[in-house]
Amino acid sequence: MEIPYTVKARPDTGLWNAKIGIWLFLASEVMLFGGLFSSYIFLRIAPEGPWPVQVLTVGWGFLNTLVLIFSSVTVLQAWVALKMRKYNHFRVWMVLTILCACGFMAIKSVEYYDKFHHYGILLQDGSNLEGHFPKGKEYKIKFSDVKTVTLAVRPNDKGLFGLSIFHNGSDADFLSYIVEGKPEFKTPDGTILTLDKITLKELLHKELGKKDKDGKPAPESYIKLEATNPLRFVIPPSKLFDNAYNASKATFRDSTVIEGKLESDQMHLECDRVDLRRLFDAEEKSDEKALASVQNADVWRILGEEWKTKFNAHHDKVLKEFKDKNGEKRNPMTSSDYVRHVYAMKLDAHGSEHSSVVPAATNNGGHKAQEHAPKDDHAEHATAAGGHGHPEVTIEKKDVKFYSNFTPKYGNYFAIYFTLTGLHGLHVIAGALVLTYFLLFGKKLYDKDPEHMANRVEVGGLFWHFVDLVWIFLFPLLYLL
Amino acid sequence: MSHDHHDHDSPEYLKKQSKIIWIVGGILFVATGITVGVMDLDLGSRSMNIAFGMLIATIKASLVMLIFMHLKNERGLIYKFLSFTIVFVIGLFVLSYLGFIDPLHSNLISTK
Repeated sequence: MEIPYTVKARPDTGLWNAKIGIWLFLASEVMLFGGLFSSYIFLRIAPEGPWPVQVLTVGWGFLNTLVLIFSSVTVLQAWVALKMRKYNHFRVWMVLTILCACGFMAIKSVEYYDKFHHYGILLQDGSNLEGHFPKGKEYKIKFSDVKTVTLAVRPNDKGLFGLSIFHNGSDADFLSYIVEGKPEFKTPDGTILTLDKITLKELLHKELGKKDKDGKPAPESYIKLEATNPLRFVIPPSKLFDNAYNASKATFRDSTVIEGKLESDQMHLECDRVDLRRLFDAEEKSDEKALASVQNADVWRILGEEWKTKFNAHHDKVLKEFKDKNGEKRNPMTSSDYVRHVYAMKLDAHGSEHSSVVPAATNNGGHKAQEHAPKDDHAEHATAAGGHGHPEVTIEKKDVKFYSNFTPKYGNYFAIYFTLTGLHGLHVIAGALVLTYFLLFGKKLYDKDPEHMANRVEVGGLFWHFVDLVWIFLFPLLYLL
Repeated sequence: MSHDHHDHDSPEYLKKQSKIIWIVGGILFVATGITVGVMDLDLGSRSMNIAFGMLIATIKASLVMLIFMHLKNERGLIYKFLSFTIVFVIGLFVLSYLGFIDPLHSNLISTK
């Protein structure tokens, strides 16, 4: 069946059908993104806590904006080439457009990767440290002298569509976190077993086959295994239930319990920012009171007193600059820029005027802030030129109220950031797929009816420009404001 | 692209269009640079920087819609669709605004 009005305009609308279709679709897209932009403004005006400061790299956002604008130009050139019946030119422009889409997503991936590895650590008093876990010192929970492992055995529950919200009990995952000792255990019936995936599965299967007095399978049972030699575990916290460990016991997410001695749950952090804005009321109008409230912050115990001295000098300098610019009458606490600049201080040589010498301080709690020594020649040059390193600190878990990488869990900003950019990214992928289809399978239609092909590319191009349009607003909102 | 007139398919017209597309692309590049640059300028207050940044973004968006998406020469029916869209989007923004005021319980009309 021939679809009408793919090339010629419908007499009543004056437009070919696909054009009306794409504009109706774009209208609904405008409302979708409009709702999300509205949510962003809502969250920005009345945030639940201090709004993060300069957590996105402007350079990446800027580059991505240029990439999308260029792709908008190339997709139009592809359409012009089709209208001029230059199919080979169309293919070149379309390849360029698709390469731009891939480039955009590659840059976005780099940005996302950075966020997934950037952490914020909220201390018990509300002060906050941001930074990266140093390479090779990622946050892990260490248990030594582990002599008992208890396996949870549950019947396999596939749940709805094979997805069960209840865990099916122990699996062999815990074995991969043994770093010292042989996984050899004595079972309750006295057998000595070296556990691996297969023997563990057999053991669990045997236990599942047991029935109670009424001949029914038990809903849940446990197998207590005694290690024949002390084991040492190094466990990523994501593998344990949240805070489900104490000095002698840890529970994995699959309900396996190990008993031994908590060796260490310290965090190491290469700090790049200290944020003290939660230590005073958001409506605080007295700079003196705000400054007084941060003097005994937990961060100084961790970073060392020298950093407090530097912070106070930083405060005085910014306050002087503010007064020189605005006069004595204006209250600095009415300026969100001032509050952000002073109380969310960068801890690096390039962002702070106080980092030319990074102090090595030992505090009462035994924490130590030390310079993260640069390794390569370039970094050594930067150190000599004025200090490159971020202070590296050790934080006891008991001092931490909450910690997260820069993901939606960290707060509203990242929730709306990932929602908006993630949805936009999906649009980029969808648009790129459509354009790739035109590139790979368009020749047949072009040979049959070149104008129909041009109209298809026009519709795809309109969607692509919409993707560009959304980014034009996303870039300043998320990266610059 | 927008009209079905034959002169819009002529090689001369299309060549001109191709040139315009490059020029507008260049303007958008420069405007993006200005958007970044203006954030570090001292315009008196932060609000002014934000307003200026959003103004440039709006100009850029207008160029994309008018030139790249050819709304400049589009049929009336498309404008009718978009006018409804604008009304609904404004409605969405008003909904957010209602999070900060309470028109049902606040004294909108002074009784004094």
